[in-house]
Amino acid sequence: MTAPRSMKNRLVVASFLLPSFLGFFVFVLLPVIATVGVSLTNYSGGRTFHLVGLANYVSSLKSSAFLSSLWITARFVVFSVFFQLLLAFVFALMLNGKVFARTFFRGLYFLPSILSSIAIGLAFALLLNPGEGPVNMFLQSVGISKQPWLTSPRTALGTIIFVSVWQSFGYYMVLFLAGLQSINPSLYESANLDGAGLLRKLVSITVPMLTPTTFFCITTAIIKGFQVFDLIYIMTGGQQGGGPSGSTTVLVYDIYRNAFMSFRMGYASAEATVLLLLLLAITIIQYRSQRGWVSYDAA
Amino acid sequence: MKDHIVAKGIIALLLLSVFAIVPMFAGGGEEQPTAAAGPQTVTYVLWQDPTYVNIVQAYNDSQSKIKVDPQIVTSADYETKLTTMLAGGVYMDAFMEKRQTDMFAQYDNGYIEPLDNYIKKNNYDTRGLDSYKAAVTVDGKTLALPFRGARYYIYYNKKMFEAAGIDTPDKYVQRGEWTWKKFMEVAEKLSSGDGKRYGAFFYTWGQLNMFPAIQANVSFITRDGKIDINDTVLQSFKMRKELEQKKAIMPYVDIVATKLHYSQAFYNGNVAMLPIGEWFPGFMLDGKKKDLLKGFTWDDWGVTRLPSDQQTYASVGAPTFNNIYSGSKNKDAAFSFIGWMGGADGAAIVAKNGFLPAMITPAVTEALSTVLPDKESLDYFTENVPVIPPYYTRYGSRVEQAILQTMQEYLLNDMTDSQVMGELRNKLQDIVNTTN
Repeated sequence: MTAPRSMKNRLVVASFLLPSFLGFFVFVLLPVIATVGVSLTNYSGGRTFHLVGLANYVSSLKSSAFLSSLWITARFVVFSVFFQLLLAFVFALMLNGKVFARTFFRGLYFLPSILSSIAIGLAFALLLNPGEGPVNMFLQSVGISKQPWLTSPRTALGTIIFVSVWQSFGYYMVLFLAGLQSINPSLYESANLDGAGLLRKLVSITVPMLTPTTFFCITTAIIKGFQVFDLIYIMTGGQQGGGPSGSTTVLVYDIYRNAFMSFRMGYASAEATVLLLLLLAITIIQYRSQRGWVSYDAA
Repeated sequence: MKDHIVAKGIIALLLLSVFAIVPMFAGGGEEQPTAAAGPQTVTYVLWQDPTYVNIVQAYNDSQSKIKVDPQIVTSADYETKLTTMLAGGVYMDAFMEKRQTDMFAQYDNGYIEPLDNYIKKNNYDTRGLDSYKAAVTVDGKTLALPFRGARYYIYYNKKMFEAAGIDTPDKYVQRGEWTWKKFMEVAEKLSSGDGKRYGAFFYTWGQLNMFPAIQANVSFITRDGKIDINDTVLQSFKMRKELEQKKAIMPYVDIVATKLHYSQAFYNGNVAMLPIGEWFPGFMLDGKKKDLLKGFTWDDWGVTRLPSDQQTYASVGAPTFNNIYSGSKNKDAAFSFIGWMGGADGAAIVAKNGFLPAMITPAVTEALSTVLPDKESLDYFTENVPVIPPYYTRYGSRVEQAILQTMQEYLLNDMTDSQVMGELRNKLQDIVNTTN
């Protein structure tokens, strides 16, 4: 009686999981396998191609364009993740307390994260127009000189980082808010009884208790950071984009350019596989290192 | 027992839903619908341009056996989308080529139907093809039929020259003085120096910034993979940098950041000279129709030659052409259409819509006279001069990127002459080394 019942249960569970797994298989796993396969060929979008082994990987590691795009992506990730999470944490702290219209403000700060990146990119490209954009005109009106924004290699990446932070911090703010609300209030009561100040409570209670949320946010933000493309494409000129002097040519943009402008799909697939392995390595390192600083102990 | 039936029902429902969903994923290529009685349909992929649909409509109106169904793709992403459509097996009968050097990769991938048999079978009038045969022939096979000729010109705003009291460019051409040095002097004199008026406008395409080099027959990478660059390349880079520093032209990075189109720049009436191709009268017609010309009228612009430092004048450009898709089920009908477009009948329609056709006939000259402002412009527009296609090899698309990347680095940084040439040489060598 037990064995058939257990089999029946397994079948029921499997059938509920099947639609999701099917979607994952068709839209994620199969394309990843196909990409790795294509990376070993000189596929250029057509029917005639052959195996080239690891030649594409060797080319990419020797390519200054690839290494440069990797470096630019790393800078983008470090700064955007840092500022996104910092702002998210600060705003979550502010909106966790009894603040006038806090529900409205929570919604307001969350809103950019659900807007289309294309729309945000176009809007900011207009606002930051170096000649007649409202931002530069405002700066001029208060006696500050016009800024190059997207038209200088010194400022283009910073501008994109700013827009990315503006777009995304609200999402992490909501996660931090959820984390803050799950902290046992008795911890703060005990701290109050012991005479702990605001800073002490922040450092000794809030931050440690938020480490699981922080870990999740860092992991997700880093993965999303490495995948940035749409803002770069829209704000730096589409097919001729990548920023002045290539200063915002991130890895995914380089992959796009190689695949769809130069028809080097085999090479672009190799770049994409390198990105996948890099992200996997970073995620594994983070996962392993969490034991040192993430506390899952409930109060 | 009841649980058993319920579980079975759930499993059955889920499996049925999988069978229903899977066929939706299976449709990779779109099949052409079975031909019904009536005209034969030719599916034709082209990019968005105000006048191309007029040309297709004119063909459809001229006969009743074939109906061309245009599939319009946005111009900005046409090359990417066409690549994706071809790789994805999207059905089409013919397509227009926008970045001409893409033809090499498409031919290597087996997407293009060679046309020699169709030309012979139909006794095709090759006058339009002959002038551009080299540009559409690969491995001895004719792969395309040009329908637009290839030339770049200087379009100029007469009002700005009048206001500055300077001779218009055609006067310098007549006196044999129209060199790139003279062009720079004139552009500087016509600009206001504060970005309100520009002497010229160089759009963001690589070839538009390499005219001196292309006219000197620099091929960047030859068809057999050798690097070919010289001082005229440096001259081209320096020309752009000097004109930007003197604010005689709009900076490259500003054009990219603001996405300003060259037609809009000329319509605005604050750009005195625009080096651009033979399709631009079509834009001017559109500008006139939509009342977009600011501060000048239809009669206040002209067309003349590009400047040139060479003894024999040559313009620059590659023809625009149509290909037949190798997987087409209507190749004969597709050839009829693209043959018309590249032939005498189509040439007159192409001309009426503001383009220079591949074939120049009296009817074409008459049609062009209605889309150009004066006789002198018409003479320069239709004169028979050599035309050099820029970096016209299988490396072409990547050469364009290498030129633009090097140019941007040069414009935005302090680089010595040897540094900039070394940078370009390295990029070109990288292209040769990684093309497999």
